[in-house]
Amino acid sequence: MTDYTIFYKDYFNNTADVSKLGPWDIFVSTYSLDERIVKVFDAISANEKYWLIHKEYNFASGEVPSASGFIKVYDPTQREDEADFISNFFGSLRITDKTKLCIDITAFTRPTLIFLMYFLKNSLKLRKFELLYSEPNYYSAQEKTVFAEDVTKVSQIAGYEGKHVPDNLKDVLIIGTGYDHSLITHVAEDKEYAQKIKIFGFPSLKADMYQENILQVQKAVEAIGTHIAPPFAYYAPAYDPFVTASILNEILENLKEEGNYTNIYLCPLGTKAHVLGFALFYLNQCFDAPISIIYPHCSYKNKKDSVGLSGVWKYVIEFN
Amino acid sequence: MEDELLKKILIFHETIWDRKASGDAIKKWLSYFEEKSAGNPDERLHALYLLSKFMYFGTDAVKEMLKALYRDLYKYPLISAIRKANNDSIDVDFINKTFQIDLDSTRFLGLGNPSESGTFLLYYFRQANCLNRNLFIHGHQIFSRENDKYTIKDQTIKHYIFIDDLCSSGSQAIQYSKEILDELKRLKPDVKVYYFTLIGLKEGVEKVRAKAKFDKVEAVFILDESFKCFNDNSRYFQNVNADYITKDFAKTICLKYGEKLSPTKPLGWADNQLLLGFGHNIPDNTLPVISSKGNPSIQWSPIFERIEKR
Amino acid sequence: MKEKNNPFNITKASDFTDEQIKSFWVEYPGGFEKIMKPTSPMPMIIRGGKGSGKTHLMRQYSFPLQKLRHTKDLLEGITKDGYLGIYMVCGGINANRFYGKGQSTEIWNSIFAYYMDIWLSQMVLKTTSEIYTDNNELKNVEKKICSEILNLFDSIDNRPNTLIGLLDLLVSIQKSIDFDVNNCAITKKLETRISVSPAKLIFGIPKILKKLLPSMKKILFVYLIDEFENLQEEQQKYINTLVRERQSPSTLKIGGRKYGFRTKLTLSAGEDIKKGSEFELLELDVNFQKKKEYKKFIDLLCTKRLTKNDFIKESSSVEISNFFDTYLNSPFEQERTKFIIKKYDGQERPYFSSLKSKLRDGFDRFGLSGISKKAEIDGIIERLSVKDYPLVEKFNVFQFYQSWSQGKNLKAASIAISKECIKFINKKDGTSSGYGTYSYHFNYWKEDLLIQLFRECDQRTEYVDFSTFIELSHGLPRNLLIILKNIYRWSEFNNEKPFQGGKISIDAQTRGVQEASEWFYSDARGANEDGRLIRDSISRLGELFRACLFSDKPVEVSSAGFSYDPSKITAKAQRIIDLAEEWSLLVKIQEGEKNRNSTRIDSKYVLNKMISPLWQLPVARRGTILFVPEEVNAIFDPEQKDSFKELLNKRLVKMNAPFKKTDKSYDLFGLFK
Repeated sequence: MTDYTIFYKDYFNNTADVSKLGPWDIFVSTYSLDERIVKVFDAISANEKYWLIHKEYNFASGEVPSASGFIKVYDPTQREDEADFISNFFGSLRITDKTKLCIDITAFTRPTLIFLMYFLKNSLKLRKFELLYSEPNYYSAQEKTVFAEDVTKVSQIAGYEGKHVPDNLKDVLIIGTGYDHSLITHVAEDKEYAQKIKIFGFPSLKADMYQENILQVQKAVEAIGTHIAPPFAYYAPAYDPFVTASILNEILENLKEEGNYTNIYLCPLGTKAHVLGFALFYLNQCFDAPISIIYPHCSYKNKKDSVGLSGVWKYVIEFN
Repeated sequence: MEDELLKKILIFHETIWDRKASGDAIKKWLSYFEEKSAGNPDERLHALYLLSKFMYFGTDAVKEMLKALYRDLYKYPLISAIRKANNDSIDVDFINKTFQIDLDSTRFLGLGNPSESGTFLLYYFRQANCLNRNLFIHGHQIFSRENDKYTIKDQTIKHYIFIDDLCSSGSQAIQYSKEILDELKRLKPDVKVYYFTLIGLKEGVEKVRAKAKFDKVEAVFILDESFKCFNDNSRYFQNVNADYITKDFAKTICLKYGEKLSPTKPLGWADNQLLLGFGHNIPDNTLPVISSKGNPSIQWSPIFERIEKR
Repeated sequence: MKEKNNPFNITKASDFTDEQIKSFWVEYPGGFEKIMKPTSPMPMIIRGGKGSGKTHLMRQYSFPLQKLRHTKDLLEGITKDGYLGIYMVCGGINANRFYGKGQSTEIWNSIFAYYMDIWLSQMVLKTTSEIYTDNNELKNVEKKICSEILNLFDSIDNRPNTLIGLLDLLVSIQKSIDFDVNNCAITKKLETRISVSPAKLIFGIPKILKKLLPSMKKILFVYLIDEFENLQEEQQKYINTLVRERQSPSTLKIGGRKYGFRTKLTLSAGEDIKKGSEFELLELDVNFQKKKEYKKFIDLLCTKRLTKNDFIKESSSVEISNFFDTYLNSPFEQERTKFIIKKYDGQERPYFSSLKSKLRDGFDRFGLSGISKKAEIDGIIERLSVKDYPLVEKFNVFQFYQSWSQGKNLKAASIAISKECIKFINKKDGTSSGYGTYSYHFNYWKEDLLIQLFRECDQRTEYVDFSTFIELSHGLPRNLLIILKNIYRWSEFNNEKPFQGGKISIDAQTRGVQEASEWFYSDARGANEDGRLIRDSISRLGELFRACLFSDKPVEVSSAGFSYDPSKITAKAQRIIDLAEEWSLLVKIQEGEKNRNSTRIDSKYVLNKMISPLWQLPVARRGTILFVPEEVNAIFDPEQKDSFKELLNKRLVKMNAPFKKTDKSYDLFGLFK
């Protein structure tokens, strides 16, 4: 099944509309200081609500929300990798296929979001759940906004490790570009010998963000090359995981047709919608292949990277 | 700061600006602004700053937007409806076959007369989405006339999709609604007529939604007031170094030259103050300092030249 | 004219196909073979900064390139070469997954070693298969080869008798390990059964091939292991162990970035591998920095790029430097400074305004030797002026500051300077007349003073000329390519038709250099926050050099080097210095610096020339500043950085008018930002 664009997605202009959704049994969000995160959390109607605290945000004491009533907070004392973090938290929730589950993915770190999809599909065996993603008015420092930095290592994400071959002659690295050029450089240099294919988020969340993205990606040009057209660069809407997954499928089909790859590495560094698309594509099509998702893990994540709330997307994830 | 701005512009010139902003062209354009003098804000620096914020959508970008228009604004809602009506089916073959029926009963048109940009886009729209040319008609082909009566030429058509590049005030779309939609809806009440544009100013889009009879009005990009260059909450001056660049001075110079370049709209049509251009033309809502080619009273050489409609 | 592609666009070996490596190959004067020694059984560690050409070199000696060179008879060609290059990149193994997941280091060491052996063995067998395609020599002994290889295993169920079958077996073992390792993150279990002892396959397979295939008798199997930095410390220990326990007919050449060699330890009880006896070390960029053949090599490299991209004809002999605009030689640099005459026509030149202001301030606060009335200051300025030659004026001002700092009679000093200046100008040939003369000192200081002059007159420091770019690249060929790439971009932007008949302007050259410099600096990333710490430290160091350069009376000419007593600085500071060196932002001068006041040999480093433009420093290097330990700590130790400003001020007070050591009223740091 390769037509991801049939999956449901809806857009809501404001939190008033969002508050009419649900109600859900469980709503989970990752905390950050962005207005768009807190506003959506407050608007959502659910029986249980959870804040997840990622250590990478380096919150000061007093910045983290407290539990109250049906709102709970998961804040592990030690930093956990994405597999342990997700397994420990979601494993404790008694979620079944009948649970009405909604997760706001906006502030998740990318590796955690990627592993989350694996876990919900393969460990909890969920067939259907809903995800939210909120758009800002603009990023706080525009093109200079740093979302994450201080890379600790580039490694595969658990569950997305593939079965690679020793022949590296025609390796391909597909990067979903974002603003963090240092992350792009890190991952591109980890797979220096691989051919690079970029996926730009276009249409972007806002009309000027595409140009901002181009400016940042150019800072990594020594690592990933200058092309902005196929077959070295593709476009998928920054807000649409399903089209992103479709574009990845298109790239894969093109590579197969040309007989032109030995190993493929995927690295989503753009919006969470893009990241979701990469995860969906992998989970549906890349099992047992020489394809893996790699990521430059960071110790720092910007806890306030955007201004305002422009709108909210709802994606319905359906697994066979 | 000038170096930083030039670097940005070089990047855009090499990548997404279709190589339209060469160093020569910029030098010539900047020469029309006053040279920096001690103790005064720098006109040329402000001009360069505005240029660095210019949003240009070249041919490739427009094609991607047209793909998004078709896929996200037109196709997806139909697909979604098909699924919902069939128990959330994920049978792709079935869905596509059913969608094909909808597509066959759809016609795409450009807003405006055949020489205008809305119609011009149809070629790229068809190409980018690999659509059959039979799906494209002109406005006059909606109706046929027998004796003195107008009828719908093809009763099997259920969807009419009007395509445009920019909806600014919405007046053109509203005008079309009066001229065509009133009659169309009267003759075929169940027909669906949509207006999709690549870029829509929020105010204009809302006006069209309120005053025109389109069943749906959408844009690939909606520009809110923050895209109005000198607005109070303009996004262009949020993170600027106030030692070098101020919004007030930028506005002053745009007015100073704009009043000579385009006396009736020194900051763009309807005072829209946009920094926006397409590969096929620059809208007149854009600041004239960027796009005007001058007139007998003032010599000017723009970076992104607007070709005026006659 | 059809727009041409930037001939310097591709700057990395990894962006070249094998065909391009072959087609664009430029031989080093004297030959790379002497450097790489592909037929030497002694293992080699190849360390190189980014852009040193390490991967390019290693690929040149790899089997795919041997294949391209010996299209007629591959086996004969390889036999003649005397080696078979089995090239692998460590990034391909995705080594970071052999870590954590609830398993011990020991378990991961075993699994990694097993995986590495299986990985490399696949490559050897695949290569052998390819060499002997349709060759009876292999067919005749294939079964025996397979049988002997299988006997290397401690236990194995499947016993194929063809190389293809054997390859399939290895592939399935690898996939099985992949499955176990990948799932371990979720299951927290790792139950891989290791069926062969470490290194047995890596060394055993070549032995068997040599024994049973006569044509392989004289061939050295060279494992070219690149991107060593992509292995973790424990994993590097295993490779180090292979180096130590190397067995004929195999050897290893390990390539990695300077910062990527995490350990010299092996897996045998805390022992290092020994340079000289167990491996030889090739430091590629040091090699390039030292040899004058580097310039010739760069010339050839650039000519090849231009030829292959149709900018020049293959047969033509061109002087690359002719493509770049430059200044005509003039004894007092009149060409480079004529803009000052025009810009300040009718106005006081900025260095005189500054001098005047400082003299007035000095007069008011401390008095000036030889000056009894403030009005006499104008006379001093008048005597130092040489209207047609701003650089000579600047030099006069500099000498005047020197006199002032020495406490001399300022009126007399200005008269003396004026006298010597007139003699110098009237000679008009600008040649040095021996140590101590006006002419000698003028030529000694002029580059630094030009930079000062440019800054004072609001002009950016210019970096022009091909020889300058070679200097800036500091022994890393890729740096040179990136400089030229960016120069080309700017030149094309300016519509100058670079390398196509037009001259590349000084503006394009300077901007291109600046961009390349910024890339090099920002590319020092390090792990975790190290990248930021390194760059912050280098930034402080650069600020200091710049502040010294732009002071009224710089002490050392063209200084971008420093020395210090390593026994007196903090471990944290030394760590950052070491990291900065590994990331090539600092270059260590191996022989150190003899301390002037004792017999001690201090550590000595210079800033990589590639980043000189970030602080407008000159390219030429002469002076070295001796830092006291507090200064080194303030620059490099993140916990002591707050004292940097104060220490810098302390240094600068002595170098700036009114030259009062105890004057705390000046905040000079801000002046030089």
